[in-house]
Amino acid sequence: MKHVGRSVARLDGPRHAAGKSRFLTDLEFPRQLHMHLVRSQVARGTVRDVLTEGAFTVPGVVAVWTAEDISHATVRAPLEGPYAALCPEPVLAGDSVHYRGEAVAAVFAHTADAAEDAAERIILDIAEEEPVLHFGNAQGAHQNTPSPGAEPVSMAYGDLNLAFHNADFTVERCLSVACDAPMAQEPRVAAALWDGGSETLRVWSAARPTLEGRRRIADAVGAPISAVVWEQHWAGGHFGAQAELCAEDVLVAMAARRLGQPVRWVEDPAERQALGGHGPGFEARARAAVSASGALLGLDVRFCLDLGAYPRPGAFHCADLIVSLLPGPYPPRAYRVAGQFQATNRAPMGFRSGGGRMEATFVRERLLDAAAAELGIAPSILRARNLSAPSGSGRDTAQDGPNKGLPTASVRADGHAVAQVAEESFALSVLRQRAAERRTRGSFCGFGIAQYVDVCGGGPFDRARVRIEADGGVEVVVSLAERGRGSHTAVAQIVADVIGVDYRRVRVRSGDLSPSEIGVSPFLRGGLTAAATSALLAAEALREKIARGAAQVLGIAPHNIAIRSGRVCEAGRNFGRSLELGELASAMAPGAAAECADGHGLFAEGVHRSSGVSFPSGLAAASVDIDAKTGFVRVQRVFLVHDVGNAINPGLAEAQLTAGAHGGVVAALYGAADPAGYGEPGWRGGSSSSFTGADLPPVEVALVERGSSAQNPLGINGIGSAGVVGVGSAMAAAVDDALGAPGFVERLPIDPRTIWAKISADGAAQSGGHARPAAAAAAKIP
Amino acid sequence: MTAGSVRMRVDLNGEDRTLVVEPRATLLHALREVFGLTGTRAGCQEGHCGTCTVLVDGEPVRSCLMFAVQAHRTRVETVEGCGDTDALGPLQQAFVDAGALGCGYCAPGFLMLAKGLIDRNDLGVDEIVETVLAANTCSCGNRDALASAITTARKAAAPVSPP
Repeated sequence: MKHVGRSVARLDGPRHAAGKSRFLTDLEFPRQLHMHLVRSQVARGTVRDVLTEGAFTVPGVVAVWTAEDISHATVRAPLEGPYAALCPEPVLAGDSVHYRGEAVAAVFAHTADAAEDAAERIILDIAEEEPVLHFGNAQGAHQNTPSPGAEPVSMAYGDLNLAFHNADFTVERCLSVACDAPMAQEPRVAAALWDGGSETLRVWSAARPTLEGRRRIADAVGAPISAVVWEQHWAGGHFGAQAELCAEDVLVAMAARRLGQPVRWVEDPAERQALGGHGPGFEARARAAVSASGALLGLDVRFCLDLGAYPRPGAFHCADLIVSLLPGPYPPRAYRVAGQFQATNRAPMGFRSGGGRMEATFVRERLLDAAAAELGIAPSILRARNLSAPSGSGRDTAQDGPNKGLPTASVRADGHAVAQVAEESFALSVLRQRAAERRTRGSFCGFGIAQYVDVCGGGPFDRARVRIEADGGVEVVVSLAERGRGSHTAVAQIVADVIGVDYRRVRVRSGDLSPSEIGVSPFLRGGLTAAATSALLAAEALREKIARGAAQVLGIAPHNIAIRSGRVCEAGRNFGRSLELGELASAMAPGAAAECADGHGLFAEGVHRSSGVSFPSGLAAASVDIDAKTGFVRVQRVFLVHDVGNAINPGLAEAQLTAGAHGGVVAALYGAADPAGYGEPGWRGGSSSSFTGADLPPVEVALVERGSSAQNPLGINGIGSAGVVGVGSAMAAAVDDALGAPGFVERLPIDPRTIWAKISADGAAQSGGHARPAAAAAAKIP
Repeated sequence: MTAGSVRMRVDLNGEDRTLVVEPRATLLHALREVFGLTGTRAGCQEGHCGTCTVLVDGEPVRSCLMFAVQAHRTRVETVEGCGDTDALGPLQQAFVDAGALGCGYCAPGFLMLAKGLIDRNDLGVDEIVETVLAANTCSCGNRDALASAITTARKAAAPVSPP
């Protein structure tokens, strides 16, 4: 039975349903110490004193640390190049604090309650200063602001002046996406254990085990990088927000080493409210040069990202993705983009699901919608005129700058195939027409689409090991942790097909494979691509070993070997000599009759060297209804078409895209963490309080397998956060459509208050005073 | 038994259990830290996400908002009481079959809430689905699959009793 391409059930399903899966919060260690952090209650200030004496009156307290105790260590190395002026994030704040919630002291105690009680007795004496809470209006007011005018991320090609000179018209928009702080379902956890016997440090963290992260941890404990073992574990929900190394990860490692006991930290709800992984706020001024036929001649974008108090790699990566993905599937003839960063007194901004791609898509798709409205043609027709052929050439890689090597995506994505499948599967033009008809009867309903290009893959290396056990089972070790997408099931399907066993006989687990060599990209959700490819290579190598061994044991030529349901036999014969895989594994074990020359038995390793990233392309569509009395947007349905290249497990792919689309809806309606008076995030994004599953629309997904990536032998394009990327832009277009006001939505999340104000103003302008949708504008669009 | 601690009894997944807890300990804390039943998970710990939902005398409760001592002499059911990995209960099997699991962190909360509503036997399929989806949150799973799993399990259970 072939497994790849079939929607087989997830292998870890029963464990999850039985409540038996173990998450980071379930970790317990004998003799463990609990860490609790004392955090600044002001967003900006000078630390005059930290009075720690009171903490030691609480029984069970082992140590209290301030910045001096850890030699003012930083979470990351100082930056270079255009960012050198930015001061790196301290593990514990020293002389000054830069955001509300910044850790100033750490308490270690035998129980979590003791650590918390002791932390309450530590007094922070901080002279408060006026914080910079909103970016864009206070240039230079923050010590961490790069020099004004510096635009450290940029890319350009073509003659932009000529493009705008030749344009029949231009469209220009100021667009923004609010800082968002999605809440992970599981509290963040950091734990570390120093083994003095073997002099190794074991680290448990939701952060991805990047090479840089390992290096920082190793430096912090004064051990070589090979002594740091990164234990990946199941983590609950919103993984993008948890991807980056944090001060707590470094602190528990230092404490485990110095105090000689396991140390564990679990984020409490208040900490999660204040600090949960923030996606940077984004503002852009964008203009497009368009010909009378609707051809996109030039695209010119300047943008600014809010870094928060300290620079994190996620924010820079976000900027790089914006730069490379702004043109999307429609390469303009000339393109110029320049981005800069601004620091504020808010929690450091990092990465979030769809980060960079959502912003790029929003800017581009809003401009295209504006151009379509200007020309009076359907948005889908304008897009079709600008989609590139998938085999275009040139202009696809940044030649220098911080995003060197990161390609622009336009030339790779097959936007035509995606648009065609979308129309065939969901009859989008009919949906648009229906929305227009309902508007003529007085409803505020609308329909919108957005096409996007995501990016997946990354590396640089990944590794997998496959072994046949004596009972005939197959063990696969990959570096990829299972993060709720069924990735391990997909890996099992691939290995099962190569080896010739039922996928339920394949046991996949994540392990730390050669820490000094492997650097898992913390951001690009191409984890499956790398893990699946290395598992494929390992399985193929093992398959050759099986053939050679079976040839020796059974007396059959190696090329004549077949494996059916875990049984090795002669190809083309139903009877005759055969052998269970487990028996062969025993026969080939070291010291056995047919032992392998390499001394490993039935074991093989696969190493995948990533040669680049892949660019899955897709289309999102949304139909919305607006409540005229409140301005609230109700998303009726979402449609997604995504070019996966090769769907290893279509059911899992659809589930991942559906979940992503729901994330996109949440981000577009609720995803703002605007700061309140003291610098704490006010309106929480994906927080549990602002939405539930009952608010989310049904999602219909169509998978396309046309634009297979050439970057891996499986032709996987990847999915990652693709569901998130285009939905907000489609919703923005749908809201414009519903209001009969092209270009109305200029910011994500869409604010019901502005919609309500618009409907009220339109209603007041009409003589009857009763709000009606602008039927005339709606009818203009075919 | 430290000063101020309270001895209490509880029928936990059909077993008569005794425990000693501090008055400030939540039921969530007692289940996880005292009994080691880590299938019940901490989410927001403020009562809105529902990840920690268990059944107390058959009624779904947020175990993060209930003190352990309040469960004295009650019947508490957790996900561990519904079935094991190799012998799943019907509702658990429906979750697996429908692909209603994402990372699995919030799954036990959804399961116990749905179980409580199905076992009450006075709600129709649509009411149960609507209540469950509106009560608990999930950040990576599939809402439609959850609805389908609950629908399957409700239909397989006893018919709605007449009012």
